Amino acid sequence: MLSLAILSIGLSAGPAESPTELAAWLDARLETAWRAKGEPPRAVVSDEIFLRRAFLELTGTIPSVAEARDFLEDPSATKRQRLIQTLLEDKRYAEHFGRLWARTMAPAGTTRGPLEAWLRTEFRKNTPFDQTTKAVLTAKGDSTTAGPAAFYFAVGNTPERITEAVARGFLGIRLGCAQCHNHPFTGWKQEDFWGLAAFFASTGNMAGPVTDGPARKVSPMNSSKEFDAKFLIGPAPEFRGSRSARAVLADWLATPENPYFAANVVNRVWQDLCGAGLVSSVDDLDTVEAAERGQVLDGLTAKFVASGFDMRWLIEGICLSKAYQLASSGSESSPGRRPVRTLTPDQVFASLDQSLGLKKGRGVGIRFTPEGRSLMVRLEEARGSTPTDYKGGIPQALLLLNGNLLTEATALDSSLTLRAIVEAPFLNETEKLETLYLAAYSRQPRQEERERMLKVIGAKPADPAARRQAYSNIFWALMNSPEFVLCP
Amino acid sequence: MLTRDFGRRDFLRMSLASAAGAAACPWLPALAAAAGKKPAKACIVLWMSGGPSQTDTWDLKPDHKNGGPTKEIATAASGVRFSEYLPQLAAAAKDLGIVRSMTTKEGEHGRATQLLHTGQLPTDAVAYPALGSLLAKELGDPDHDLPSYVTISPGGLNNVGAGFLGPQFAPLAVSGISDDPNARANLSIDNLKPDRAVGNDDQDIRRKLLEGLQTDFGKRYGGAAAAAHAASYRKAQRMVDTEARGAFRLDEEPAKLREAYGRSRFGQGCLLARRLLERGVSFVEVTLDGWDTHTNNFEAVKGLNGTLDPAFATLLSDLKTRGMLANTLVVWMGEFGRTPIINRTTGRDHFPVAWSTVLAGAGIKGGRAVGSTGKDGMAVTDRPVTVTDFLATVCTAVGVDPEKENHTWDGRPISLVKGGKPIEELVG
Repeated sequence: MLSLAILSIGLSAGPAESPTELAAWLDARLETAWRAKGEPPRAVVSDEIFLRRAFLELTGTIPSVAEARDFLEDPSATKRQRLIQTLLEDKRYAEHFGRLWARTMAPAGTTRGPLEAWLRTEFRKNTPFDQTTKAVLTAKGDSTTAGPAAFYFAVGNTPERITEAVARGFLGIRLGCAQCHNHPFTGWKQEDFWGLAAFFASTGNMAGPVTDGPARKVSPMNSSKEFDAKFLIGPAPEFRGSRSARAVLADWLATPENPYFAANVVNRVWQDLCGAGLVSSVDDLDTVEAAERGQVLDGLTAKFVASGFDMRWLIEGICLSKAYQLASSGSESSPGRRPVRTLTPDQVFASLDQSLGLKKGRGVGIRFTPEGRSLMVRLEEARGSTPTDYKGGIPQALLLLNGNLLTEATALDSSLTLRAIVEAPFLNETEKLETLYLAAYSRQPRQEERERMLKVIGAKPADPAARRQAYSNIFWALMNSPEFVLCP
Repeated sequence: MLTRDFGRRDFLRMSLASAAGAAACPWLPALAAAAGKKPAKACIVLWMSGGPSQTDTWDLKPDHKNGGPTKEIATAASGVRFSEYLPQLAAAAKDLGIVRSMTTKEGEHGRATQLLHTGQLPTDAVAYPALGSLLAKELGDPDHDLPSYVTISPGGLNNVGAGFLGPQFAPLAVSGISDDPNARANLSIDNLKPDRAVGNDDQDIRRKLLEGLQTDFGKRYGGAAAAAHAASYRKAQRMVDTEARGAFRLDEEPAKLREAYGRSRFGQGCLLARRLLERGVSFVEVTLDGWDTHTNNFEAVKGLNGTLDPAFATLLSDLKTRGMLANTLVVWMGEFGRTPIINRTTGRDHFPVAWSTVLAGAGIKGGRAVGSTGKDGMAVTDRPVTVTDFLATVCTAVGVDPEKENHTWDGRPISLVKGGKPIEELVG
C-alpha cells in the first residue's frame, strides 16, 4: 500500500468534459461493475425521492412546501438537471458543503466556526480544491477568524493534531496510532507520523497566530529522538531557498501525482452525496486494494484531476448520473450503490425548522433557544460514524415524542405552520392533508395514506375541535416517523 | 477495507479455529454444568475514559523515578498495595482481582476504545458489537421493560455500539445533560412524559398513526437504519409506559448512601447502575472521563482517584449488602495505560504496552494481583494478559462461553471473543 505504483493518475490531455459527459461515463462504468457482480441497475427513483435527496444533499435541508410543489408540478423532462443547477447556485449549497468539509478536516473539534465560515466562501467561489488545500497547509496569521489558518484553531495547533487531521482529512489515511508505535497492520511507522508532523514544527500554538519558521524537526513528548520532515511516500523532500517546510509539503500533498489526495476528495464527496464511499472506507484509503480502487474510484479521480480539482463540476456530474438517481438498497454493497441514509444532526435540525417554522432565539438562530440547543445536543450525541448509521437512542426519541419543541411546533395554538394550513379557508380537507405531507415529506400522500388519514380527520364529524386536533396529531406523527429522518 | 477474498479466507480460518477451540477449551464443561440452574448474572463496567495511569493507581513504583510523588499504601490483601489516594478500595482489596500485566497494541483513543470494547480493531468489514451488547444479548431478557444495556455519561469517544447485533442490543445512553439542574444531578432521562396538553385519547391516536407510518416505511425501504429507528422508538415508548423508569429516581435512596457514593456524576452513576441492575438490566457501563493526563498527571489523577475511590468501594459494599455481588461482575478498565516515564510537562502519555485492569464480584478470586511490570513499569515481566484473554475472563466470570458464535447479516459466524484464555488465577 505504500507503493506509488498502485495508481498512475495522468493528467489526461484534451478539453475538459462537461458534467453531463461525466455522468454518462459514471453510469457506463458503474453498470459494468454491477453486472460483474450480478447486481443489475435498480429503477430510477420518483420525482419525490429525487427532490428530497437533491435538497438534503446539496443544501442540507428539505424543500419548502412551495419549492416541492413547483418541482413536482413541473412537467418538463429536464427539470431534474435544472434543479441540480439551481441548488448549486443556492447559498445553502456553499453553507452545507462548508459545514461538511469543516467536519471532515476537524472531526473532533468544537472550534470549527471560523474554518466553516472560510470554507463557505471557498465553495461559493468554487476555488479549485487543490488550491483550498494548499491554502490550509501554508496558512499563517490569525486562526480565530474566517480564513485558512482557522484550520489550526479547529484541530488544535500542535504538530500531532495537525498531522492526524491532515492525514485523515486530506489523504484518507489514519496515522494517529503510528504516533506512539509502529502501526501493526498498515505498515505506517513512527517515523512516518513524526516525519509528517515535522513539517508543522513551527506553526505556533493555540494561544497565538499560526506562524512559520525554519524548524523542520520534531521530537515527541518524553522522547529525545528527533524526526526529520519526510513525506509519507515518494522521494525525500527538497528544501530550497526561503520556501517554507509547509509549502514544500503542500507541493507534495495537493497534487495530481499524490495517489491519495484527489482520490480521498472524490471518495468523500461520493459518500456525502450518496451515503457510502466508492470504496468502503473513507478513512482508510491506504488499506484499499488496487482492484477495488480500480473499479470506479481511480477513473473518477483522474477525471477530477483533469477538471482542475473542480468541486462543483464533480458534484454536478455525480448528481446528474443515473447512479445518483437509482433506488437505494439495503443489502447490496457494490461501489456506487446508495443505501438508505440517516440525516445528519444538521440536516435534521434544518429540516425540522423548514417544516415547522421553529421559534427563533433572541437575536440569534433557532439553534440557540434552550429547546433548540438541547435538541442539537441530543442529535449530535447520536451522530453515526457513517451516513447509514441510525444512532438516535431512546433519549432522542423521547425528546421528539414528548419534548416541548415538537409538542409546541405541532400544536394548533402555538404552531404558525400548522395553524396556517388548518385555518386556510381556501383549502379543503384533502388539500390540507396534502399540504401537511408536502411540509413534512416533500410529497403528496399516497392513495392509501390519504384514505387512512382522512378517516382520522373525520372520526368525530360532530366535533370541530377534534377535527382540528386530528391535523395536529397527524403532523406530529409525520415529524416523528422514519421517513422524516431517513432518506431512501 | 478488507476485500471479499480476504473475508473468505478469514472466514475459513475462523471456522477451523473454532472447531479446534471448542475441543481444547477446558472451561466449557464447567459452563455446561452450570447451565440450567444459573442465577441471572450481570456486569458493570467502570470505564476510565482517556487511559488511566496504572502507575498512580494499582501498580505503583515507589522505588523508581517513574513512580513520581504518589505514595503506596498497604491494603486488606497482604502483599497487594495501592495508591494512597485509593484508601476505601484498599480496605476492600479482598474483593479485587488486579491485573497488572495488560498488554495491548493500540495507543490511539478511538481505536483503543473500540479494541477494549470489542476485542477488535475497527474495520469496515465487520461492525463488531461492544462487550455490553454481546453480554446484553446473552444475559438480558429481550422482553424486559428496560433495555439490557445502559451506558451512563458515555461521552464522545466511548460510543461503540451493537454493531452487527443490531439496535435491539444497542446501549441506552443516559448522558445526564439537561438544562434542568435537578435532572442533571439525578441523571434522569428527560421527556419521559408527554406534554399535559395532549390528552390521553390523542396520545393513543398519535401512537397508532406513528406505528402505521413506521410499518409502511419499513416495508417499502427496509434497511438497518429503519429498523434502528423503529427499535429506538419502541423502547422509548416502553420506557414511557412502564414503571421501570423509577430506576432513575435516585432521590428514593437514603441521603447517606448517596453521599457515600459521592455526589459526582460518576458516583451517582454507580448508584444508578445498581438500581438498573435491580430492575433487570444486565449490563451497565459508567464512564469517568479525564484520564488523558498528558500534563499535570499527579494532580489530575489525585482528583480522579478522589471521585473513583468512594464510588467504586461503595458500589462493592452496596452490592454485597444486597446479596448482589456474587452474581455481579464489576470491571474497571480504560482503553490503555500511561507511560511510566514522566514527560516534560509532568504528564504521562499513552501506553498500551503494560497496564492494569481490575475485576471484582461474580466469583472473582479477590485479594490478589496477577502479573507484574518490573521495577520501572516499562514492560510486562510476568504473565502477559492480552485484550482477548481479558475479555474472555469477563465472559467466563458471568457464565458466558467466550467462544460462542453470533452471525453477521450475511451469515458469517463470529465468536464473542476469539481465542482468549481466561485468567485462571481469577476465575479458575
